Amino acid sequence: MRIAVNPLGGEFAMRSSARCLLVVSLALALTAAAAVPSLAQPRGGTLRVGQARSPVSLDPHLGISLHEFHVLYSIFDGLVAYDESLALKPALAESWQRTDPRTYVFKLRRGVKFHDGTDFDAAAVKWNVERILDPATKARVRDLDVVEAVEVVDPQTVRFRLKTPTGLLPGFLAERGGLMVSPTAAKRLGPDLGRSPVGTGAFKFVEWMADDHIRLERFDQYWDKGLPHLDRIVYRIIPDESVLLTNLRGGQIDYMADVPPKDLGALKRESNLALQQKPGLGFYWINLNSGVPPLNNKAIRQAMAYAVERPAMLRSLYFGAGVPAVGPLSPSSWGWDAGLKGYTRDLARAKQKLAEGGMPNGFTFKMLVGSTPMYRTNATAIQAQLAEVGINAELEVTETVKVLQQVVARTYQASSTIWIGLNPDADFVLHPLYSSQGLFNKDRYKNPKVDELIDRARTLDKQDERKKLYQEAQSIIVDDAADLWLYYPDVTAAMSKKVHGVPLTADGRARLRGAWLDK
Amino acid sequence: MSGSIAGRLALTAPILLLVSFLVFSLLLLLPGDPALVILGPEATPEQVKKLAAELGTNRPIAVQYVSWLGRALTGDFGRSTRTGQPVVDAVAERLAPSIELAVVAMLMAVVVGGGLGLAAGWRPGGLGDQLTRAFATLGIAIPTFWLGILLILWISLHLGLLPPSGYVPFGEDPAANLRAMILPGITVAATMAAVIARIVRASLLEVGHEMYIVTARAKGLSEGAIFGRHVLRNALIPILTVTGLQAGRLMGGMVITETIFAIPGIGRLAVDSVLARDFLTVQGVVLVMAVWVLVANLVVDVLNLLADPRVTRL
Repeated sequence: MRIAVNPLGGEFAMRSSARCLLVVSLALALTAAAAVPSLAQPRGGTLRVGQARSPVSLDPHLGISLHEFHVLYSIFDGLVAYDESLALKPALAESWQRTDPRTYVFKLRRGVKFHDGTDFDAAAVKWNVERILDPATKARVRDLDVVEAVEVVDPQTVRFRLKTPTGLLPGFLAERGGLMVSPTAAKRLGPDLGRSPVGTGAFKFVEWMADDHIRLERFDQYWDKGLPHLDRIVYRIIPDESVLLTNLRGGQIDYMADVPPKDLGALKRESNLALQQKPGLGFYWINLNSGVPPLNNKAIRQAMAYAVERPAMLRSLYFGAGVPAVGPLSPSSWGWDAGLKGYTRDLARAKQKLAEGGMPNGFTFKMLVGSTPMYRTNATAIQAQLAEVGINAELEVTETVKVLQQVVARTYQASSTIWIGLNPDADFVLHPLYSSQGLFNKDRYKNPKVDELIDRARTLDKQDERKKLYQEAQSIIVDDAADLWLYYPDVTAAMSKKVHGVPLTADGRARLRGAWLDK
Repeated sequence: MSGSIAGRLALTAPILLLVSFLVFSLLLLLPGDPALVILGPEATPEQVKKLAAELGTNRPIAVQYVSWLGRALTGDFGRSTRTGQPVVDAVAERLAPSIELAVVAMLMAVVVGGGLGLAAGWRPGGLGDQLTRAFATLGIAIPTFWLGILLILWISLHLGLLPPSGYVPFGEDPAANLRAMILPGITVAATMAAVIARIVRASLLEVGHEMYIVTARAKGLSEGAIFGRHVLRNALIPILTVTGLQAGRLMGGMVITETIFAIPGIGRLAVDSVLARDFLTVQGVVLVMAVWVLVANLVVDVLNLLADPRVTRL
């Protein structure tokens, strides 16, 4: 290439070919400098994550716990994923289309490999879904029960045929049901897959020392080029929360999710730590068995709802780290209804409702309390509040397993517990708890209008249409005082100031694939 | 003498059998089926019954025990209903940290407790004696978890001298392993050291009042020779017995310390398994602990045999 004008003439005269080279190099350098921002993040380093509870299994289809996701999301990808605001976005599936009310077609990303070299394709998707649906797997994933059949159209295209018209499938595939496991590894390892997981995620599994740590390292052939920045992630299991915090303060770990509310104040004052906090999707509540007397009486339940003082409980028991509850949908859910007025404390109305319900002098009932300390704290406060209108709550504090036994057998009256808000979709909360077909609601709360609204919302796929139906359903559920929702606890995370790229999401699940560390 | 050791060893199997049967029965009497834990709150009573039938947990206790025993004798201890991992692997993985913690704690307790007890017994009423009695009271009264957390806050966070928690396998980094064992070792050892200090002191004092000591003094032996040759040796038996019993109880007492210091030991495994009604894993852990106690008792009895010429059989 010959350059007509020589800008570097005179004292700086060069041979034309050298000039050529210089200009071309300058041009390339300028282009590189304007390149993709991810090149600016430092590459390398080990992120040390501390968590109190150990995963029971790293087979994504077998568990249900939220804290397992901190690890699962590093090892596995789903067909669909959530972005920072918990809207659905493509992941292993590039796009999807609802071709008729009962059919979805997903187009898969090309060139994706599992950590063991197996190709990710439509056959792998079919294998995974069928594995979940096979009763022999004993998968706890129930979402995909709506799937009638999975068909391989071509290696990059999968068709899902559903039993009923439902618009929820993409959301289900952003949860455990969509996390893809290597069929080769699953066949080879059998029941040991849970201890040697193989996925398509940014990090591949290296080792798991039971109850101690899990080590992952970068997967070099990760499909999202440029990621991950980190070389390694090590998850340390530290069961005691104050010791976990000490590790963070002392620099032995870099990141922890779920900061206990009592420590939030102290952490805010630490100069080398960053704190993230926002309203979560879950709630602390008193689960009422509205299938049996006396709680099957709406007026009685309303009396209880009028007796509860939520803001005070939140302030004094939970250090204000949350939002007083109105209904089952939290402010972080897209179904949140800012205009919905729930129950505020009104002892006169409470007594009136008691009389209406035929128990003007109050009544006695039993409240089960499992072993988590916060359940007992909430239960004790509620007991005191209800006592002011003559309602006597007898607390039975016992092992979680025994609470479970009574709840499953429906021999309980009330139970102080938490609903872990995993999924931002309103159906995720409302269907299992308030639909008469709901997984946790059999023989409990029944309202045909609510059923109709929830069922109709399931068939739709446009969020604004579904939102209207859910808000209507919620206002009925709240009016019915189906349960006593107490407050929505904030999700929190604390980390060294060297950690970046881990946005806090309202579902409280840490997504570390984009994380990087300052050098 | 070797005949009676063999006799004791021969007793081990029946004792283990009895222990395993008792524990199994107690576990099965607890309300709550592992099927329930596996299926969770979305289960229906019918599903729980069905899974219980599959797992065999709805059969009579004796039947389940015999079935377990049959497989156990072939080395198959089953798989954890909680994690799916073979019980043998789950227990084996966690033995090393627990045994190491137990040994470290015992050494600390014997050295510190023994030393303090000796100081007290040497000069009853003196400064050493008073310090020892204060230490003994504190050591027994202070709750383990409180001591553990306090040590972590003071020594690790504020002074930065030692790691706050965690475990590093000895093979991986011996120095880090030992550093990580110091605070948990102290936490476990505190109560044991206090008990040992007291028994050493009491034993020494008691022997000190015996007639033969008075005789030795009358003979003109120096205090040092009396202490070293007569008092110590005769005081040894009760000290050995108590120390041995304490060592036997160690395993059970380590759960709290393992939890606070995030040590992946069998104490934590036992608690997690009981809470999840993971019977097979609990059986595995209990058997290991039973063997530990039996071995500790056997060692104590052998040492007694060696130390005390009046004892001629185990």
